[in-house]
Amino acid sequence: MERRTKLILLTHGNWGEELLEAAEMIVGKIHSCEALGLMPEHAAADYRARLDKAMEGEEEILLLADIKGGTPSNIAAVYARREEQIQAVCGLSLEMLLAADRLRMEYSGRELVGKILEEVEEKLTDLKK
Amino acid sequence: MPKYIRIDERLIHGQILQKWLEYTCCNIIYVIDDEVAEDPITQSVLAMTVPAKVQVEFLDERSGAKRIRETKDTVMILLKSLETLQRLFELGVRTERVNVCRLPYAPGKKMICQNLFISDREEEILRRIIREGIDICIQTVPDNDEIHMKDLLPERAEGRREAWREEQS
Repeated sequence: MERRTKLILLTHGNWGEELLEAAEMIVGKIHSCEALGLMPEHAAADYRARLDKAMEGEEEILLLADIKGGTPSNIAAVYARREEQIQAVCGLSLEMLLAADRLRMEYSGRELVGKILEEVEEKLTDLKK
Repeated sequence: MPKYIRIDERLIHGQILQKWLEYTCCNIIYVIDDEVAEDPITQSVLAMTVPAKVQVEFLDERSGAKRIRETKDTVMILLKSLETLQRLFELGVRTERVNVCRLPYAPGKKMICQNLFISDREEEILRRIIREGIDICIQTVPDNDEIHMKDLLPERAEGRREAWREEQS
């Protein structure tokens, strides 16, 4: 089997771990996925070091960060713009994580990012209508 | 011109975008940092995150100090470190107040307040700035209470003697 893109969840606080658990409630065990929470006491340099460790030995990586402009997202954006094999998106949600996990079976790289964003956008719904 | 100077190693991030920009009514940000001034990737990432009406300039310390002295606008000035603040003062920047958000832990630093760790060198810089009558105010977001650095670092006897000696010389 071709190696799957590794997913790394970058969040304010540790809700990425909870999110991963919630996703596993729906689809079962999610492999090659790690959550890295940024806590108020963390220095940006330490957070980058933890991220480096999480990416060690991986060929294809997708960073999923929470809010646009937050530190996790800014760090992810810098990595993605520097390294060919690192992709990054923000707007992390359960919807996005499930889409990423499913779509990485079929797609990788820029194509994977495009497919995920397309799907998540489609799912945003005003439920009253 | 009102200036809002903040020390925050993350520069532009959630707290700035969600809270401080609106609170300070700033539409111009100067990010002053010698490293970032030469790092187009970090610049492009930080610039991507601000609302369209906000203008961001990335400056090294020397040109940053010049811009601050000359500008007539209300500007938010973001710095990573106390060392940069000290050099801006040496380059003629004046202000009554500086906001410090957090100073991250590193080996050898001591904690003086939640999320605020300082080295001996940083403590000296802080004491010197406080002696000059500048209010260093610790506040993460505008809704939090302010803590004043001078209450955390009460003046020491040797500090007073040093100040006295400086006055005499």
